[in-house]
Amino acid sequence: MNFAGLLFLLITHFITGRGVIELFKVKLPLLVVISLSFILGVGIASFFPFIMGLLHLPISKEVLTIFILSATVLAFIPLLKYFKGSNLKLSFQEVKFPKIYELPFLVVFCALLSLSVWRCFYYAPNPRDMLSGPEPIAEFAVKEKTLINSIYTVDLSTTNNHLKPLYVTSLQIIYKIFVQPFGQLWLSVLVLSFITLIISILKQKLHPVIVGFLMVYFFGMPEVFGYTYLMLFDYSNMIFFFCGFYFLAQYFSDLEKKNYFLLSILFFSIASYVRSETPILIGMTLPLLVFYFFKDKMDMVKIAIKCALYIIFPFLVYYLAIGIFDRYYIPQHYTIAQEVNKNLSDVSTFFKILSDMSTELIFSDNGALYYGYFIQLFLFIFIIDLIFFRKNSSREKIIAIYGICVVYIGLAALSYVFPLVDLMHTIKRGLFKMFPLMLLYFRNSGILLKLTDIINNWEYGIKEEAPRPKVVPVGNKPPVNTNKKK
Amino acid sequence: MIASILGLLIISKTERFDRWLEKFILSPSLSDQMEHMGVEERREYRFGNLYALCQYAKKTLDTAHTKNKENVILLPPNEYLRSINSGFNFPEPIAFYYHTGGIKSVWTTSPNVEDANWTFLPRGQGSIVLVPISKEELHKLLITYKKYNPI
Repeated sequence: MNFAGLLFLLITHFITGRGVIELFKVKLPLLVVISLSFILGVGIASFFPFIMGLLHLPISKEVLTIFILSATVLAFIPLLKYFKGSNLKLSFQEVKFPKIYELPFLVVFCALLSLSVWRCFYYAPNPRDMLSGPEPIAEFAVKEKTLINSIYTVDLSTTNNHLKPLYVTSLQIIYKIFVQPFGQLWLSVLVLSFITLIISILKQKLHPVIVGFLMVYFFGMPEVFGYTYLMLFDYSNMIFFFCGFYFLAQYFSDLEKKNYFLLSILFFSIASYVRSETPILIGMTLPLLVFYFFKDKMDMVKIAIKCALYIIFPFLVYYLAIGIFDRYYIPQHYTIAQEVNKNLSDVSTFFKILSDMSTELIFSDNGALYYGYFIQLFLFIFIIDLIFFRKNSSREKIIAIYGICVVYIGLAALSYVFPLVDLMHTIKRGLFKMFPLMLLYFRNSGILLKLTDIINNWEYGIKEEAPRPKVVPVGNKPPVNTNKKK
Repeated sequence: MIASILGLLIISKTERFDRWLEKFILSPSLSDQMEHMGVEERREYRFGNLYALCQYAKKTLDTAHTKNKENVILLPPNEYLRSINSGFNFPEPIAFYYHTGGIKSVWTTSPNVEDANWTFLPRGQGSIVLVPISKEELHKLLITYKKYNPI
């Protein structure tokens, strides 16, 4: 393994991502910024070989290095201003070291993540969807220095994976050239950053012990954990889709944070590049946006512009990856129209898929082998909230619930329109997108916030109920943590 | 601290978690993997039989004197291989091309099946040979394989 190559990529990913975040001028806690920088850096790097292919440039180490360095230098420009601004210095003071009761969880998480990184490094790429498309294209792109390589002279009638967006292919090319012949370690960079991000986000509102238990259930989803080291589209898609939702929720919690909205569009656009059905799910969130825009009495012109921006960019990325590249660059053509359900008038299929999703995937005998007990935990907490904490409905909470519904119903609708979207593969892994949104819900759950208060009161010896974290009804400003720790 | 450890222990003792830990986390053993660290060894570790088969195909075609001809291998249908308990299972042509580093192959259902000039012939359980074939032999094989699904 080329450690120098890995270090070069890690540094460039971080600077690229950090620079872009700086461009959006969002103020986030240090750990969130660091993890988001890596996530965004990997996302941006995934476009480089794709753009090189579009421009007919050779896929070589030299050209790739120029691309990566150019992006890094460009991204460093906004960072220069950041470092010059005296009141904007990196503050390590805001990083709180874990308390003793967090250590058991951290040990478990570190052990699991180490295993995941090891397997990601050790195993040769194996999933069928990779070996019948992205991985061979990347392997021969490195050998033949072009994306349109000898793979397209082989019989491809058994697969359509070579027509999927070049997200995985591009990252594989980069990591094969710079790190190791199996590539793949970009997945570990994403996974580690994502877990750090999600824990940091949860800890902003919930007690660390509660966060620890929630994350144990999250890690305990065998299917999801498996894809932290098995390279495929879905884990990455889940991460970028979640980041889009997270920033959307931040924007709607405070409409003054306009850049959060733009950042959410950026993440949704990358998610659309990872999996081509994502723009449809993003489109399904549009009613929520319109509802909140109207509720906040926004100007009609502004509503139209924001909705257009929200939809156009993810679709543009989709069009570039599928509409342009697949149509004008790849020698073999494919029309999505041939995959459309011929019997769309039979709506009962849609309801059957919805029911199969719950009976065969979630609540079946194998359900726990796929998703552990995470969905049951969510339903349990959701029902308790519904009964006892109905009034506590922050916008973030509603957006999380809406997102979960969009994923669940959206995947069923996709399968209804395109029968190729099957239950045991596409939908099973597509449901991953729900899980971080469930964690986002937990962050706003009435019962968990109450529990956090109780533990904090006991831990810090506060007698009266402190107003933390206060969850306000829809339409108000976001909850503010006003609790003063002793 | 005690509550955290107790909670973790309780969760880890749940039947499904226990099974997951045993089946997916604690195995395969790390020490076994550490002994095979080379790239080719790791490929062999991951793909097993298939890797050996692809190496055999590469070696055979490298030593065969068919320089002016493109070698295309007809892959026997997997359903057929299962029916005779051969113990082999072939991937689709694109994956075969990847594993062998650039050897083309076709399935019996491939549109360009007529290009095949080599094939794997199973010789009982656990044994298979790669042999060149003529057009007539190809047609005979296709008739034999007709009722079998390539997958």
